[in-house]
Amino acid sequence: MPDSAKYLHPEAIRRISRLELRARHIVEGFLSGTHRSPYFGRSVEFLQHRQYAAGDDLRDVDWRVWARQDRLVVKQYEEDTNLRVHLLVDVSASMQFGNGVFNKYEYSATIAATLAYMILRQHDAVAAMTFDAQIRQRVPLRSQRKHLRTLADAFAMDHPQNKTDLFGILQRAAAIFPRRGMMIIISDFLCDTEATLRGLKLLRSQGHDVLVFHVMDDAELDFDFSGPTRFDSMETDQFLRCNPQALREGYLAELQKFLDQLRRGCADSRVDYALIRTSDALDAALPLYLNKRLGKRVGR
Amino acid sequence: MLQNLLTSSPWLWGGLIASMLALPILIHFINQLRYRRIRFAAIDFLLASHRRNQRKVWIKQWLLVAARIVALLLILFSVAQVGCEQNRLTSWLGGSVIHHYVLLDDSYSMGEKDGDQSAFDRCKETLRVLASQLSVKNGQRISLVRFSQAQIAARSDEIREPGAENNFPVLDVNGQVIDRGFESQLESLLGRITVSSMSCGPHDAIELANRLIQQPVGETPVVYVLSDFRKKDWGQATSAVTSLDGLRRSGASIELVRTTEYCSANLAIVDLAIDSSVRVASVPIMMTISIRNFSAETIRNIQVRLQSASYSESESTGAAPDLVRVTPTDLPMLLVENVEPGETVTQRFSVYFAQPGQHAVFAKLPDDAMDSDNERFVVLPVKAQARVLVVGNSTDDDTSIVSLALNPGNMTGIATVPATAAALRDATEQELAECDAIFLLGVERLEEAAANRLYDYVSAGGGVVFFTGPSVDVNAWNDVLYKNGNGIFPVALDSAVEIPVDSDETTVDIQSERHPVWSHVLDVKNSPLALVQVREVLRPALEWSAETDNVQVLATVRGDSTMPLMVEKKIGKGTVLAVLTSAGPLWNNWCRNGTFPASLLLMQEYVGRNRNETAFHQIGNAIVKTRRNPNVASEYAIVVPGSVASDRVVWPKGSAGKIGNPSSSDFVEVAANESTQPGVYEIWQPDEAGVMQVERIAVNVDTRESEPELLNAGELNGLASGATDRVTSANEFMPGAKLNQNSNLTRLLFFVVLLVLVAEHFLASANSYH
Repeated sequence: MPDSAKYLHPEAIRRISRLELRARHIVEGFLSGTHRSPYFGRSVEFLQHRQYAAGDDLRDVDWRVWARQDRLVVKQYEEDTNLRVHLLVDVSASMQFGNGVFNKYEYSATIAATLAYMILRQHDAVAAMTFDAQIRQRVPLRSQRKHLRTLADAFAMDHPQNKTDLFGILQRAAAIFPRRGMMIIISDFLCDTEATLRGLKLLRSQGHDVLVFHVMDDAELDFDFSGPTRFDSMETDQFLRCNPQALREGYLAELQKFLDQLRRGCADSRVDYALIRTSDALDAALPLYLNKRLGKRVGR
Repeated sequence: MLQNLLTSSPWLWGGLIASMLALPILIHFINQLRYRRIRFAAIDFLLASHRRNQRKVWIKQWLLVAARIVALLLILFSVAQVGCEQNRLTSWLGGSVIHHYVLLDDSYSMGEKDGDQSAFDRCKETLRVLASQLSVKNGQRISLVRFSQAQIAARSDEIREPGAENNFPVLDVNGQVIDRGFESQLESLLGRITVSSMSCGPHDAIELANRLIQQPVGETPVVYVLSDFRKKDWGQATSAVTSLDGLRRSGASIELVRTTEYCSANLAIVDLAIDSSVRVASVPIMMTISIRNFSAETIRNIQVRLQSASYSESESTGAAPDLVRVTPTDLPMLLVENVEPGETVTQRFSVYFAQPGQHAVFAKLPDDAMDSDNERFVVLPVKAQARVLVVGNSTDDDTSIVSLALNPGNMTGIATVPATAAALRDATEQELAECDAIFLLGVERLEEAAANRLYDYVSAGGGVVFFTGPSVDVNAWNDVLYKNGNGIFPVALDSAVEIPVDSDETTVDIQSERHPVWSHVLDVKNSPLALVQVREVLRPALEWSAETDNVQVLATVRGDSTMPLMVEKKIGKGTVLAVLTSAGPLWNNWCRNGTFPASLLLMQEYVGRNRNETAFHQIGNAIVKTRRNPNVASEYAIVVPGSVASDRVVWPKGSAGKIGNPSSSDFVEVAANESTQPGVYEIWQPDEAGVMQVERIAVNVDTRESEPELLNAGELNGLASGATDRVTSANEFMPGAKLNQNSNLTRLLFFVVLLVLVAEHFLASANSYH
């Protein structure tokens, strides 16, 4: 097991209480691991030199200029500040569920903060929005690194409640963020799937790159409950008293149908979809994001 | 204890089954109520699954409940071994029911007491232990047979053929299925059975058990032999050893349960006999009693109680058996000074009856460890007079001399009947049969018919004494009486020979051998017999040999072996004595000698003893008597002794033929199973004139049963040679592992339970109950 994997394990990360620090830890751990070089080569398109300022990464210093002209400048690339990333994090009541170290909300908030840190670290602008049936928090688009604290506070402040209305949220997001950018949606998508897919399609139609992180708990995916159990819905008044093993097969079939529908719908709309378990390492979302980011640069 | 509960009442059974039914249902509902709560996000999928699988889940749940009910019921039935008593079911399953065969030694030696308990009491205790253990093993079977009953059945041939319906009459318990009521049944049975008075070995009981074992299919036989294991019955040479092997070959496992470890001191009357052959009223009759010491110590000062029961003639004919009441009279007590260990002491005593009749004499020893052999009975038929036929020549005085000598002063009770050879020829068989003895005194000749009649008379047990004399036609006697050794006369005669006169009178003419007829002169100094002078005798033919003709010489003339004076020949049941000189004074002076009357009386008694010999009947044998009047079919009665000698039980008693039912029109029989009590039995039946006549018969124990030698531990273990055989003491008896039901039903139940439990496990897992 690489060190990064060890340090990014949810058990370890949970000990870090502050979301901001947690995000830094994850990203730095991730970057120090084996996945670093594929995403941070200097093959991206050079734009100009800028005078070195304190705090700039020494790796961005153009040492040839320093050797010839004896001044410190840093290289700047064309797309570095053009990417606008919108983080949409589901904080509905269903996100409160979790049997592991993190519940779905905690996990989602953590990976949202992690992504934010990564985005800000790359000098991209990031905005965020938490939602259930309504928009709960909204953080404007910024690219400063200190913006991470604002974002982290927004993620951490919310306590999951109410139902999810993803279609409505996506409609509003499309209205709020009319300029093209990258939409990262972190949710369990336990709502009307058809409507959700319609919302995703709407975002795509506005030119957004959409990245979906479908966060599910192990207990939801594996359904390893046993013994007489009363299941209470987290968002409605519904409940069911049953022996879970008797219904497991049917449950898993229904779940798979749901996942398939969501995955297929995303593929149809050219939305990147990733199913993430709450037991997965917390940097699981980063490769997907970076791939997407890289693909965007290469594609230009 | 649990099994006792299970078998105690149908209500309990009902309750248990209801509980077994209710428990899983209750658990099901408790499970429904006892749940944990989980707030779950993806409940829509769960609800969808529930909607789709609702019926399937419901069926699974109730299948689980049903499986649990079945498992509990099967476990209950398995523990209680329900169905194991169903032979057919067990047989169908290829299993077997254990059948316990208990062979109970009830010969009278089992009555030997050791403290307060007899060996038979310990047998009963052992049976109780067995029954107690078996009563919790529902469905097993038990049969109980006593040695005595098996022996009686074997002798009476009462056992039906194998495969015959229903029970053997000899079995106290026959293949009974053991249930909760068995213990009380057994207790009732044990209250009824007592140790018998029989001497019975194990052979018949084991053979019977072997036959029983071979009848049922699908049973595992276990044979318990409860006995004292006396060497006479169980020694290596006895048939019991072979019989046990037969049991083993039949697949039985054998458990030998010893009830006695050692024998106590015991005395027994081994014989009570009438010594006198002249048994007439008003004349003392000599009897002998033999007492044997079966213990290891000398027993001293033994007081033998003697009693006589005197029946008058009037009570022997025409009387109703019920009305005959006799109180035994005590005779003078007999004192035996001491009897050494293993020795038998015989003492003589006399009894006197004033009246003729079939009297009885009883002898009883003081109580000891074994009571059955302390008593003995004998029937003593006493006549008014003994009848002796004296056949002689009309030309001499021999007849009167012999008649006078046989009843001097009318003191001997002998009535002599003078007769001639012609009268003998004309006498009927019945007339001769009434004679106790016949004296033939030097008759010239006998006709062939008379000789044949005499021969038949002797063959039937009669006694004849021949005297010769000058009138004897030697050739006629040889032809008609001797018949080359096949006739009644024992000697082939040659001719008369004179004995030279001994002028010194130092030679004893009659040299007697040691024989009962000379008992009055044996070992007597200066016997008057020495004074007898024999002047002439009939000499045997030269070719005659005593040995060839199987004749015993009882006296010779002056010790000359070629000159026998008195010889004896046995013919059939009777005896013939031949004196080769005259009875009167023609050839000797014996009749003037003082020994002559005694000699004649002894001769008469000796030859007449066979006619007066009373038949010895042993307990457990059928008593069969010829019917006096076959034309009268139903008028008979049999009196058997009760528990004490004076008791009288008369059959038939309203219900005809419980006992004494004639086995054929020719016989009256006391069945073997009813002659199990020692004492005096009476058979009353009408004679040809229709008058009821009684015949009394003494039945005594077989004292061989008193032999004290027991098998030692090694010998007993040697008997139990089978792999599954076991030897135990009654005090330590525990049936143990042999009680376990060897039934495939149990195994099947457990197998099914296992399957059901596996099914329950999967169903429960599927239903989230595990």
